[in-house]
Amino acid sequence: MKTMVYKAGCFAFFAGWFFLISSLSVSAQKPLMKYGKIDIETLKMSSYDKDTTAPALILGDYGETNVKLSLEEGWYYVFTRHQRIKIFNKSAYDLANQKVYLTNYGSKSERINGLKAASYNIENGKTVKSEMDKNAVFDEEVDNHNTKVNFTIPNVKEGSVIEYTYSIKSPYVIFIPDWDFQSDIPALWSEYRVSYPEYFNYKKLQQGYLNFDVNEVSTRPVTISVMSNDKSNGPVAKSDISTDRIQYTDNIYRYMVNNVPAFHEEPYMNAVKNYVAAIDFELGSYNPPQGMTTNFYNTWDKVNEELLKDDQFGLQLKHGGFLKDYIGTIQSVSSDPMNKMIAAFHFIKYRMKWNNHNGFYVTKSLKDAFDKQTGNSADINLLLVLMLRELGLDADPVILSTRENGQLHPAQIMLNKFNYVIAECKIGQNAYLLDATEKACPYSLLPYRCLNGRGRIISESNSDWIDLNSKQKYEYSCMLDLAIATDGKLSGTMSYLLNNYAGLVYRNDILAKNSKDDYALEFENENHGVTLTNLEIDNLDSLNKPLIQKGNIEVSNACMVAGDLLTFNPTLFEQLASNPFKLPKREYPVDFAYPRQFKYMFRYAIPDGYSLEELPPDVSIALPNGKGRYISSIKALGKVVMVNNILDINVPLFTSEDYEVLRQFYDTVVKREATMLVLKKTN
Amino acid sequence: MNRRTPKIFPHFNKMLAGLFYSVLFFILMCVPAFAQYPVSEIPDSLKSNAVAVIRDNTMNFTFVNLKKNVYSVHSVITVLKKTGDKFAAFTEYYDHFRKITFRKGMIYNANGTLIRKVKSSELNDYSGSGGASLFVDYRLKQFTPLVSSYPYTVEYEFEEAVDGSFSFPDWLPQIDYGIAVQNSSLQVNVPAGYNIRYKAFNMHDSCRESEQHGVKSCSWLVQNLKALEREPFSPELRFISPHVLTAPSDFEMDEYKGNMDTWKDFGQWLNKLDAGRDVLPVSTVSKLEEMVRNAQDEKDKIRILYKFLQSKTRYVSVQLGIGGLQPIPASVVDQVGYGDCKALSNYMLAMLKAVGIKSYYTTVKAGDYFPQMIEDFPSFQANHAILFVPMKKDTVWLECTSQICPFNYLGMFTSDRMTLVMKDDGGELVRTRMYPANENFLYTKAKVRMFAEGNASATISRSYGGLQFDEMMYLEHAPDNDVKDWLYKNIDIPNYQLKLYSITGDSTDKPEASLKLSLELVNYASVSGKRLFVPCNLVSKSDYFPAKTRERKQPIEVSYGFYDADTVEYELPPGFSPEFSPSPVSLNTPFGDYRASILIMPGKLIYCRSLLFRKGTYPASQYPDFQKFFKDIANADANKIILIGK
Repeated sequence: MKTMVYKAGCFAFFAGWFFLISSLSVSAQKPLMKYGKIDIETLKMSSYDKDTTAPALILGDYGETNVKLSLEEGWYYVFTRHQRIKIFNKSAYDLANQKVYLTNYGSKSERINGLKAASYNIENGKTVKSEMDKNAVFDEEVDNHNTKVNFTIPNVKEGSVIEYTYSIKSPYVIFIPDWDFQSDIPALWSEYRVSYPEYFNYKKLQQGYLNFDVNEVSTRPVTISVMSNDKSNGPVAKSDISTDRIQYTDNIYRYMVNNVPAFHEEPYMNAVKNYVAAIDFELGSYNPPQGMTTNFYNTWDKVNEELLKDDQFGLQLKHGGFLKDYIGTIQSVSSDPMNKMIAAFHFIKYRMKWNNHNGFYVTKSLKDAFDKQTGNSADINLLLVLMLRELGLDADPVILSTRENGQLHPAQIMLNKFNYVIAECKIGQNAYLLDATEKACPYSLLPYRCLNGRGRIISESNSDWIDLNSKQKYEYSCMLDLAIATDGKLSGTMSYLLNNYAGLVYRNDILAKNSKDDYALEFENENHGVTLTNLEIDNLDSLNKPLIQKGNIEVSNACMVAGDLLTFNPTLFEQLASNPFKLPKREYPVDFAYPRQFKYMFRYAIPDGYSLEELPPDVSIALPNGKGRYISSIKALGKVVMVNNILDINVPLFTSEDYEVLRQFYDTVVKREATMLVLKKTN
Repeated sequence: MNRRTPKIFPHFNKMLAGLFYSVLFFILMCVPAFAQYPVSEIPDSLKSNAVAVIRDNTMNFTFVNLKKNVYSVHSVITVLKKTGDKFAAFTEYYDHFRKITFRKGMIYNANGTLIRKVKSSELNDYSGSGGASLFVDYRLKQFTPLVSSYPYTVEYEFEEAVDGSFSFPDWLPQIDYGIAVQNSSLQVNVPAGYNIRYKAFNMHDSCRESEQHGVKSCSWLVQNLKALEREPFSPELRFISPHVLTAPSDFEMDEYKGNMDTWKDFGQWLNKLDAGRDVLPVSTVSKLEEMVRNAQDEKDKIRILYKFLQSKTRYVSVQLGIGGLQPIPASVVDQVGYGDCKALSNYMLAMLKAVGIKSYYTTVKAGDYFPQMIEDFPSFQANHAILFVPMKKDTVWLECTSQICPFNYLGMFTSDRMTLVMKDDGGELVRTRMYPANENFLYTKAKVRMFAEGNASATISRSYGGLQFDEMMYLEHAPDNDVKDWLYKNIDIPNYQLKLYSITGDSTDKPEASLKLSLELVNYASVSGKRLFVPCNLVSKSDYFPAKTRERKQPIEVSYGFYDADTVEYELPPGFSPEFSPSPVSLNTPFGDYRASILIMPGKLIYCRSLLFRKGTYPASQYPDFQKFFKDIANADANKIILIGK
């Protein structure tokens, strides 16, 4: 699988130049921590006053990345990290086990240097330091390109202070390390400094909800001795080298946050990385002192252009010969563009099995993927684009970031924030977004993971943003028609109509079962007291129609016989019994992914000799600005009670300011759906 | 602007579509010239309830000599359904002692046409740590065939060369529920004169023996095994499906020679691995002696040293060398303060030894599903180490990897099962203690003040004991956010706010803890006109129901018992009186006893509930009664009191 790192291989920009660093004066402010110098007060500390329940506290987290030059290897960077942690509680012991990841492609590899770690404890009033031994470091090859360096710090107890430091030397200057200021334990301070020569321009993206206490830019002069020769003349004899001095400027960036609160995940959240305070980098352009400027995706047009000529993206779309027979077949059956699009979509979807890997670069080649009948999202969806184009349709790839991968910031032109590609096909006035990785997904929907803001169309002529958010809803409706017996048993029919996203979710659910029988059993096991017979599932394969599930049910435990009374909750197993938003406050938005609609139509036949005691009044509430509503009505018509409930959530996203209203809205729904009906004997 | 598609599919002609797809698929699936393992050769009886069918599995194991063993495996499996995909993957672990050679990989479609060959370069090579262990040296070769249409068939051939002769095949042809087996065989080859040890379950016990050219072979074959359905409370698969366990007599691993004929012999070998690793520095010994100088008795000394172990060390998984069997020396643990189960148990043993107390290193099969050892077949069956300290009157068991476990407590992970204790002269089987139902308690006392609009405020006190305490043990020491999350997830009340909460452990080493809660209950009672419907059961509602299965085949096994008792006092809102109160429920069954009743008093109601659930084994035929017991409990727990206002 191609990764972005592999792309660093195209960085052969120093033909004809060898550089020798004579001096690299580092004159930035010294960091606030020195390895081995521990304040006895921090050892005596027993809790953190700003978060007394925190199991540990990061006393300081310091990172530094410097982009430098070497004679042998060209540009490289050194990333240095130093973290110091106070352990309050046993549950934080895992922080004493750390991992560092190193990458290597071909001859270019990352190396770790200067790894040191220690714990500090008070024994008999004195600070005792336990330095980590070499035996406690264990290198593990994760796969062919990644190594994990594991290390564990000795003598960690409640009250210990631990610290570690290391440097990574890396040739991959396209991707200098990002920095997270926030984690699930609080931090007193977290700081990141980055320096790089003026020839480089890195784009920076700040994430999260915290403000920097320090956000500074400064410069420093760097002097370098340059030995110039002509590389084509073979090995260099020392006497042939003319020495020259050149000077350039390093740009230095410094970011610091003090008193960083712990980050805790909340329900209905999009990717955690959208919320954690962080700063990310990506190389935008490189302008060497002598030579051509190389722009790395500094405009969207440039991104478009680069991808179009990339041999694992755009160039793959040039060779469709291997599809000839299939194209011919489709052409011979229909010439209607819509038919052709759907045919191609089905064909790719059924032939290709997704390997669950995201990506927008083709693994090997589209032909190879086609032959193996499996691949990542790029293999599958670029095949679809290719096929659509071969059919004479107007189709382009759309790159995007999945929900799990985090939100895109369109002003920040960073290609490594994307991780997925789908297809766009224009027919007349309509543009269809297609993802062929999921069998149950119809051409009218994108899978859940793709619903994340906007995607970028990569095209010779139409490169632009496109809205990925779905106008289609999750539509769930349930109809029950039941007769109540005097012993409290309910029996009759149920039917579910599941449309659009509800159809997708339940089709996937059915596909995950071995048989319809198992599906029925699970329904019974999830709803005690319900016996389901004659389950029928319709439109399972007609993906553009609602999925229908119907059958006969008997409910034995819903209606209580209380003397002269029969009491039951008319929402039965569809009751929303508890508020999904329990926490009183929320820091981050609530993300439902798509609008939702729930409709319930329940009909109960009252047994002879009984009548409904009281009819609860109708409930109708709405969220502000038409974002949602709930309507519930219970009507009695002779011997029949009709219950009609509708719950609409019309927008996918609610901000934290909306949270309280949303929580109260759900409280009302929960309260309403707890309402009991009372039937009383009439004679 | 709506750029997305309309919902309907306007022009497409269904008949055209049908024709169209059949043409496409005809091209896709050319007629096989030479079919391998077509699905049509699977008998229908094997397809029912199966997600995959093992067409053929031939395992050939050869004990070449003490230093070298070889496995050679041919396997063909047909995946019928998406849920069977995972069984088509190739996954083999290896390390310094084991080498995998992938010989063949083929993927066929339903007709038996070759879709493609799998090259050994396509195999992924991963570290075996999976993120959990810090130090592991085992790795895995892995390949997942991804085929779009079902059924499909995969065929693999590989060889595994093993240094040493410690592990022999553990043959379970039916690898999981939902798997049918057409043909599966095991053959064990040893030099003539070598004693092959085996035990067979759910099949004829003896192997087919043959001998030629100085090689003795022993083989087993199973055919046409129907897929089994997973059933709740059933014995482990290895006890209900054909299973052959084999083991060496004489063996060797990393220069350590041993014999496994008896537990005693096997224990002697494990003793060899541990030998000399229980020595502590003199300075530590004198520190330990000082610590126990004023102890009241021997048990007190053990307690003091156990507390010291818990404060000094932490668990770090280290699975290196000799199959992860040899502990890190006690002197190293003394220095670094961490280790795995072997290292920490051995360290505790060394500390006890330093103060003159004899204890024994013990291996056990750990797991909260109470896995049981096969007692009459000496072989390596453990995955964990603990420490056994017999005393004159008493016995102490120590779990040495936990910093929070009460002294002499084992919990779900290792209690009530046979273990292998390493005595001086070799191994000996000893059973860990069983916690009876009355020690695994959960007592709840609560007061609820009800208000006319349905809200209520509650103060709740719960005491957890024994195996029901296990979860509290972790929560007591968990970060506050985890505790809150757990409470919000586990307190089964629809809508409430947590006002106060605390978890307190027992100060006298009893495996007990108490949870105190103060809650504001929102809409606890539902209001219908003049009536209030009050759920009787506040926090102990049982919503568990043993899953319905097609036809119960296995006996019902309940691994441990427990006892719950609740008393909840509801103070009624002014002006309300009970209109209906559910009649008392009393269930007496072989599985357990349940009682629930409501006492009506002026201005208040008192709800009492008790549930005794027994450890035991019952025939499959009693499954409907077993289900009914839970169903009756769930129904009784769902009862509501109806209050009526003036």
